[in-house]
Amino acid sequence: MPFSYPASRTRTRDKVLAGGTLSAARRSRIGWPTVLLLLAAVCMAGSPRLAHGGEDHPLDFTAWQHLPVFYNGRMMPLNTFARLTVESVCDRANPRLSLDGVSDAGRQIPAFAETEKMFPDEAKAFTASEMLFSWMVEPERWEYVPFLIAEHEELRKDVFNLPVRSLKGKHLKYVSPYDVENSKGFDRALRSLAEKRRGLPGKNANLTSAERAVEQLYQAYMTYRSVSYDPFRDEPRKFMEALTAAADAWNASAQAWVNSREALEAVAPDIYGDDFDGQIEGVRGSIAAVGEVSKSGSVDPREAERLLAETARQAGSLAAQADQGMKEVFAGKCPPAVSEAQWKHLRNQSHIISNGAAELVVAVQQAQLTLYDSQKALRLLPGLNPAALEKNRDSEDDAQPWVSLETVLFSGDDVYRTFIRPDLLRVDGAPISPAEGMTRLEFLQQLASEGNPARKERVAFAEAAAAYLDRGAGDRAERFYSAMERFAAELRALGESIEPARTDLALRHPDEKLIEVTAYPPPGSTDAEVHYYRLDPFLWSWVLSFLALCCLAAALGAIRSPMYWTGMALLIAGQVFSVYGFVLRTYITGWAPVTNMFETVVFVALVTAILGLWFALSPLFGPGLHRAWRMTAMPGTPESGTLDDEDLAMMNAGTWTGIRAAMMIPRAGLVYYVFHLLTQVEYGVGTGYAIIRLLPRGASMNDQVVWLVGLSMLAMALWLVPRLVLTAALGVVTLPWSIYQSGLGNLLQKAMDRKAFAAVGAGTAFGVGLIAYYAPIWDANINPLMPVLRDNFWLTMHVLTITASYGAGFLAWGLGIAAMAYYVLGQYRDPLAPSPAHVAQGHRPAHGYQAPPESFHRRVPEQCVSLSGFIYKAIQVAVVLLAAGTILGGLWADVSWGRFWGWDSKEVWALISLLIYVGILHFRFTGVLRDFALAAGAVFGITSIVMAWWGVNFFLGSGLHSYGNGAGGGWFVLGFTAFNAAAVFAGAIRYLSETGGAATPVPAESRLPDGAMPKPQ
Amino acid sequence: MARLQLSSPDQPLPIRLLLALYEVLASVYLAVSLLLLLAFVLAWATFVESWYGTEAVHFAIYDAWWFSALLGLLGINVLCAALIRFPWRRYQTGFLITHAGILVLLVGCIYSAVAGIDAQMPIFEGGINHLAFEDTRHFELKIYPDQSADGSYQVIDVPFASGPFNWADYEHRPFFPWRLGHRDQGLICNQNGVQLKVLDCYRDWTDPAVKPLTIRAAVPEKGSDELGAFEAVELEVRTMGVGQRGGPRVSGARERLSSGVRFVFWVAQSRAESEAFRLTTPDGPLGELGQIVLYARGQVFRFAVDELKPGGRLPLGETGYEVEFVNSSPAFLGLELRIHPPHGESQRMILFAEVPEFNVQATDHGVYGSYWIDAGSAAARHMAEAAESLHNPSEPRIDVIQTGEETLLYRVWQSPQMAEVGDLPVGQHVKVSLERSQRTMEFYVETFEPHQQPGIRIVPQPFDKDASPSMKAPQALIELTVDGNTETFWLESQHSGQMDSPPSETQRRVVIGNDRRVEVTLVPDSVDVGFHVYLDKFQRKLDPGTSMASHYSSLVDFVTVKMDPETKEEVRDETIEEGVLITLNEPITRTDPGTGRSFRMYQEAFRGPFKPGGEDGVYDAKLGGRVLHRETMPRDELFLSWLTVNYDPGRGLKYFGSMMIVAGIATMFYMRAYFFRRHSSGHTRTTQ
Repeated sequence: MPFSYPASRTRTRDKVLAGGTLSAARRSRIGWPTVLLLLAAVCMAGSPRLAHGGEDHPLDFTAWQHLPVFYNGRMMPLNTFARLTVESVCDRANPRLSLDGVSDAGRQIPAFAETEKMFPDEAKAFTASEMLFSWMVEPERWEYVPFLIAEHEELRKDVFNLPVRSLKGKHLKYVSPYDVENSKGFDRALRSLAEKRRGLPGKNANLTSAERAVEQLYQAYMTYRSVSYDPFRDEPRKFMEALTAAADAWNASAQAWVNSREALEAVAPDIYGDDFDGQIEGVRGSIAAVGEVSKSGSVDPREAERLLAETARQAGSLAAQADQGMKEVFAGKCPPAVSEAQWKHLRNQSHIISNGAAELVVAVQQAQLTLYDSQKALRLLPGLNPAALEKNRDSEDDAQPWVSLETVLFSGDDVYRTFIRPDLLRVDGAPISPAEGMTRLEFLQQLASEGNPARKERVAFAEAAAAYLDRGAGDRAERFYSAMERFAAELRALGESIEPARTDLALRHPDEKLIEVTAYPPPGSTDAEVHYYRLDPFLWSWVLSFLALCCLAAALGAIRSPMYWTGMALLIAGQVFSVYGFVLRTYITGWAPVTNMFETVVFVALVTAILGLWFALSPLFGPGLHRAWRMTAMPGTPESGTLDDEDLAMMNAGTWTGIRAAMMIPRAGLVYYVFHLLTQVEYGVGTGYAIIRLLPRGASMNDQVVWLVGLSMLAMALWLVPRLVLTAALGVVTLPWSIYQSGLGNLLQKAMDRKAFAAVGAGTAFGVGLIAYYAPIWDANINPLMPVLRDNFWLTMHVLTITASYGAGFLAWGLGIAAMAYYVLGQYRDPLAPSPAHVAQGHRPAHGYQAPPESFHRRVPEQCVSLSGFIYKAIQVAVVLLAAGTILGGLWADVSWGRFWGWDSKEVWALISLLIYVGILHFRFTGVLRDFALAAGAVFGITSIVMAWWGVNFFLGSGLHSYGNGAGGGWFVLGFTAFNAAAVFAGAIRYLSETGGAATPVPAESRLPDGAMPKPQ
Repeated sequence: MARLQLSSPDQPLPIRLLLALYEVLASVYLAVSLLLLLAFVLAWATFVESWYGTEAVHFAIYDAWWFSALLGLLGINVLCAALIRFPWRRYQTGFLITHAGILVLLVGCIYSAVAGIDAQMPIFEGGINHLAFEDTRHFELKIYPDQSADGSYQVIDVPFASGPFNWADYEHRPFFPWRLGHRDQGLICNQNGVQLKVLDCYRDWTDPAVKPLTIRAAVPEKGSDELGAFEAVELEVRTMGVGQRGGPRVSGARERLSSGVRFVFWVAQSRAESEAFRLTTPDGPLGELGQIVLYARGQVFRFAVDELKPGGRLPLGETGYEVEFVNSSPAFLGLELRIHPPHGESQRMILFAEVPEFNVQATDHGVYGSYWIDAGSAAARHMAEAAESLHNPSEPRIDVIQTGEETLLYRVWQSPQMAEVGDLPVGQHVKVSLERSQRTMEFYVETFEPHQQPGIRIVPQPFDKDASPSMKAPQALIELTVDGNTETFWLESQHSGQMDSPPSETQRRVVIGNDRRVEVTLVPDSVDVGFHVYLDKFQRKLDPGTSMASHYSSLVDFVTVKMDPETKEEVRDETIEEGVLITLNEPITRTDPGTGRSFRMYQEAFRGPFKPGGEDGVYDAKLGGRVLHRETMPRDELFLSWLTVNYDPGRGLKYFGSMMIVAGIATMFYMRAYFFRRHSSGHTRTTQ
């Protein structure tokens, strides 16, 4: 265990915790000390991963982790499902558990010895997927193990009456399912919570932290119960719901039948006769019989399975007849004795009956399926569930296209045949139920040996379970590995064999798209996601940015170019990791990765770093790119006319024209390609519109103008985009050329002068990336995107641009903070009196030749001057991106909802940010306070971006951009703002006091040499 | 850039002042102040939205005049800043394009705000609509002249902006000049003797279930003069006929003392009804089938039911009105009449002798009636045996009504004659001599909670920003005067989702004037888009594995309509364009042939699916037993689709302005002239 605390340090830390000063830190996922330790670990070992506990034979869970699972509307590897589940149960994905907090009642049970074997080294760090597996195969042992999150002190003490610390002084975070079930205090707390919630329907009740902890624990408990659902013991909630739905559907039919039996019989006697009445009666009896079995709150699945099969048969036949009857009635003519209104009513009655019967069939099927299924079941196989594959399926119910592990393992052959494998061979013998006191493993083994031998995946799973539980056995790892491999292979075979049967299902309106996306995925489809979580690229990204910051800071202190270049390399490497992370996320989800808060935060970190790099390195590649740009100018245009000396030094005018003409050929191709992309290719799922339409939508003036604007934008894009692409391509040649021409050393020196950009970029990228990674207020997991937002070109453009502007804003902020540091700590300089030589060269000093001494002020530190130039550039970029992003947002809103601007909070804050940054630029123009104001503006301006970004969703909680809504982080943001204010305040005091009074100028010759570092005063 | 100075001391003072103003308006100091002020106001606005909701912030800030003024000033600033630099130099090209773009964008926004339409059109599958509803409302006054031969009437639409809160709440809301927002208060319409005043408005209200009237009454024991203990009678109003929209909706309460004395209570809907309550007392012998007493235009007319023949019409004096006797129902001691005005549509009237609280009056014509029958008559005895509640009709029945002024009136009916009629102030004891048993009973009103509408108490609810404003039907307290005849009442707004059915009793009122009557309703503003939309199919795609709808769309036809002679409903006639798909994020454009406005239609929301036999009953009411156009079998489910109908005349300008801003910034970068030239101060320049 390389990174556990030494005992003494643990105690000191707990003393601090007991003092209550670190309550906020406790709530975050990993405390700051751990972060720093982790960093150290990264430097030393290169791997942040915690190794497995002290087991002799580490098990290989790879096959298990890679199993495809269908959850929350998308396909994911089991690893991700396990992480999500375990995180909601234990509050972290890889919890470290021990038996310290086991209650006395738990310790007294005879099987506790077995439980102790789960923790051979007192404490054990579980990976999410192992934990999930363990829940599945030894649930009886987990009953007494504390692993449900209950960290809140009040919750432990007052509600559960449990200690906050163990005898060894360790902080206790968990309670066991046994504790939850048998605590009267928790029961009371839940009740009062429910009461409070009832009192404030539809609102966020102002819950205390203890109440939120109660709620979290309850969720954790329910999730655990749902995931480790035992069909033979647990309360079958979902099944009961399905049964109620069945009874309702039957009621609807039966009531309509009672109301209009005679009239219907007169119209269609061959259908609506005594036989039909008998069928309705028969179904009623069957449903009642199923109801009997499940009256006591628990249900015998085997018996229910038998009765439901009969009910399904009856309901199917009733539905067929009712459908036939409805069709006859609707095809028939109004009898003469009946009024038109009555006839309409009668037709509707026949429709109600047939509709009720059809719904009944579905409900009974769901009841069959839900016998072995729970809300958050681990679903790892597509199933033959017609209700889930219908286009017109009910959005209210929870019919799932995939079946649960419980169904695969425990269902009787009837249900298995109905929903998984219609061609399963029948074998003799009654369905097997667990005997009293049997463990999960024993039951699994009994099913494997005595059940249908054709269900091979069950046999393999039982073997894997047996191997897993055979702790201490020498061949455990090998046995587990081979059984798990077999289980995965069997599942794959099954999943692939189900596909033809799914497409052949008799569905009224099959949802082709759904069937397609829920098909058993090809091998390897889940690898990327497992890889993503294993690699954790965004962790590497901020770690590398941090190291880059360290190097660049060192390079600032004393000019040491190795440090500088190491820093730059690290910074680039960090951003490569970020980009790789985005590529992975995009590959996994299939949409642009800027659609939840976590992704935008990481994206901003990336943009800040890239902008920092771009500005810092622009002396290096700027001239080259500029030359490439000029090479792509169209011959004959004014642009192509001017060739300066450097251009001509490169090659003669004729060659320039020749290259420019040659460039027209690829450019024409690119123009066509961009034209095709923008005007021919359909975007979105809808009706085949391209991004820009070549024809106006309507005849009105308005539509014509919009059309013209569209064409202008098209023209701009056709002019610019191909040229940019060509420029980038030509850069491969021109870049080395221009570096060669100007001399590398010279350029490097220029780049080094701009190292502030890189350092600030690295620092900001590190800070933002760290927040993205550790802030507990957003979800870093890959989640399905709100369907409305998928495949939306304008949305993607808008969000990318806006978040990029945030990045530029943050870069400006970082530069502003750096400038403030210099304003506070830097070396202020004496004013210069102009030397006659300067004047003779045409220099006109601001203070005039004969200025009195009081008109001379001390000058700000030298770095502040260059920094304010950098800030100006960063703010310019922020303004351009903000303006473009806001306009793109308006465009998207207009295209989607028909309003360009609706004063939505998010829109308004984007506008405020724009106004503030534009205001800063204009303010600089007034000349008041000059460079200092620019830096102060950059520092304060970030507040508006933070509000637009975090505040609207997490603080104001209003408006249309609610898909990002969340809560928390308020104190952090307040602290951030206070820090900014303090920095500017400190800077202002020093700045005003230094430059406020008059000063005696020194002769120009005595100025400091360029590049000298200021010393703190 | 140097400060631009146009004014100089050698100019005449007015010119100097004007130029100085021009300089101020063009100054960058004003620009910075305005930008920061606007940023501050906007920030404040988002907080107001967070606290009070979207509607409130639009009311108080975004739609307020001073906010427009602020934007206008910014526009002037931008304009002047560009003009004052004339003649422009080459490097200013980007600056000019950008600033002109801002102006164009602002103008486009103003144009959209003034002339644009943003409305919603609800359509059921198989239904047709051509009206789109906006978030705003207006009063609709329909003036029916008595002498109109063809039943034509005049309509006055009075816009009504009510603001986001109950009116009482405007006084005590912090941080905000709410009163600067525009509300239509007080006299909002005064045309040819028709005056409409809005006295109060509740945006959110509730109907608390309380017993509105507690009467305590004491009756002496038989054969004694001593009053027994006072017994409480709590009268709780029950409403009948709510389920059928547009149908009669009556509400009343009745309770019986142990001694058999009955109390009946209902709420008068108008001043005339209170007047009629006093005056429509029986006179003379009642006959076997009793007497009806009608009140019209201040006069009273009595008819013996024995003499009426079904279908026969009798004039109501000189009023020009006629009453038609339709039939009687001896089983309920009720009869149906029709009141025929001189011109226009007749109205049904149903009168009950024993349950007057459920009478249906001819409110549209201001004709009110009572039906009196002798408890000793054969019909009355038969009825009394049949109905437990009418037990012992020989005991007196005391009718109490709440008048339009929220006071109480009572009358004591001691079959076969009216014993007393009078006012009933709260707390005042009333003595009633019971003639038959020679005793004197006594009663008084202990508590009284007035009803604002028949059967409904309207109590304002505290403001709740999370309450969905679109689902609330505001209530307005209005005073409508027609030819000097004033009625004051609460009126409930109709909801855009119900506009295909007639208004309910609480949503319309009629006030009678001289030779005319005025009907008032409060309805959402609507736009006739000029074409008829038939919803063929609503399609909804669900997200795999979740219950979220991932895409939804409406497949519509554009059609012409004709009137179905049987159902009197609009049905599709000819098809203009078939199978047009309106889907999320993919609007369609269609031009109103009448006005030339080009509307865009978006898929907004939907309700449903409604299923046959569903508890809501929507499917059965809208589609039950019907087969839709082009289909042979009925739909298994029915959807209601909400389309957004949008007309944005400033859209072109907004796009153009946006393009100019983008192009201007691009030009600035391209020309390397940035926003402004680098502004270096003297003591920094020397170091470089």
